[in-house]
Amino acid sequence: MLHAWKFFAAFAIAFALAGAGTAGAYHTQFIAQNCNYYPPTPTSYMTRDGSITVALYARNEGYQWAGGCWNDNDVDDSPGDPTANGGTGGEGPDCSGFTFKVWRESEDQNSTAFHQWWRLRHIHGPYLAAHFKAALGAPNYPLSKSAAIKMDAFASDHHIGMIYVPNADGTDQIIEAKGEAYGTNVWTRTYRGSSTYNGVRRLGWSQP
Amino acid sequence: MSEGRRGRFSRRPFGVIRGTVVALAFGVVAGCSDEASVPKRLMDGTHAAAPPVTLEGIQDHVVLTKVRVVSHTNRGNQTRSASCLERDWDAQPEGSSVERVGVESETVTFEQASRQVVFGCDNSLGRGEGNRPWCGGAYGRLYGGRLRDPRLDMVGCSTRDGDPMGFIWVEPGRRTKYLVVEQPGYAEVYETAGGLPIRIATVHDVFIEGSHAVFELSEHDKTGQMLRTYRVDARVAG
Repeated sequence: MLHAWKFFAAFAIAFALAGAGTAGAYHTQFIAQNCNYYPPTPTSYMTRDGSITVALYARNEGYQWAGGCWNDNDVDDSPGDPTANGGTGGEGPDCSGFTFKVWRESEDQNSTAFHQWWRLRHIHGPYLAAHFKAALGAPNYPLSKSAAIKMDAFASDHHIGMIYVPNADGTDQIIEAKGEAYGTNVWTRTYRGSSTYNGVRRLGWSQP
Repeated sequence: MSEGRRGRFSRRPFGVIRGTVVALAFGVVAGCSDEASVPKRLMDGTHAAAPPVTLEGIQDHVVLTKVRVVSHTNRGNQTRSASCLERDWDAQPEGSSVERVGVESETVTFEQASRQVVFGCDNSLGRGEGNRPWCGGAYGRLYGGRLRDPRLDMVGCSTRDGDPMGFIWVEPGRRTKYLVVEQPGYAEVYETAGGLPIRIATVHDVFIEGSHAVFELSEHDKTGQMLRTYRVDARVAG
């Protein structure tokens, strides 16, 4: 009987310790341990196909409010972060930071130059989704949604996603940092037909 | 700046030592300031008045901002509120809006039905993009009636001299009547109004690199007694 109690006590302690670890798991310190603040690499041109490749590196890498740093292991290394909490320092971009980085924009809102921000460079950029919707900033230009093609974006006051592939039925495959529960990936979305979304284009694309 | 403080309110408990330090900081700033830099007028050209009470810990050069609660029936089409709503917001306003005019800024704040969202417009003395009536704005989801993020807006708005500005919402405590924002050479005072978060602006400690801004704040009750001092290090998000 004594052995049974000892076993139960050891099990209870182990369970409690495991629970404590889980409770603190959202503070994974991903940014602090993996990311850098290196200057961007200036580039003279940017193609839509090239930016799709850049965007796809973030696929399956999670979502982080105010975030902007991810690796390429196809795993969210900071799962379960609380919503709208920029202090958790986890992996992944948020929607506007993702667009800023894929569009190779500058922190200077008056600059249209291309800046290659590498995956592990932690940066969000100055724009809210609402800023993209309003086409604020020199590199961002308002666009008729019917004219939007791959790597143009649809923005609302609280979200933005870029076109991966337009669908024939009027919907689009959108690559976006969707939220903490979803991460960053490609989904079929109806932003093109939604009155709350505006079209916005990054100026200066080289073709294609 | 520590990662843990980014993009969220970092409220610190009020303490005598911290209060003293901040009071001294305000005093030092005021004592060293150029008299000519103390604002005499608000952004709309009206006289910059002093607050009706003495604010504990704030030595001098205090400017009271203007605030107006506008009911939806009085919104008309010539008010700041009406102008802000000309933008195609995702949200529909419910109830009254709050219009504020500071030294270098003016804002309007709306609340959506069921207290799920706050949104509004920001403006400044600097030249904005194109012919836009407002240089910026923000939209913030509420969780349990409160913001989890102050919704920093630092794109588009600037001072008369072209320096960047940052705008955030602050949710003051229940006893708070006055919110004081440290500015270079003076302190700007915002009154609580309309039960909505207070949209404030800063003209310094706005960091383009890193996309964040630091606000030094204190809250005071209706008698001017200091309730707390704290710093908000806000980061652009979402």
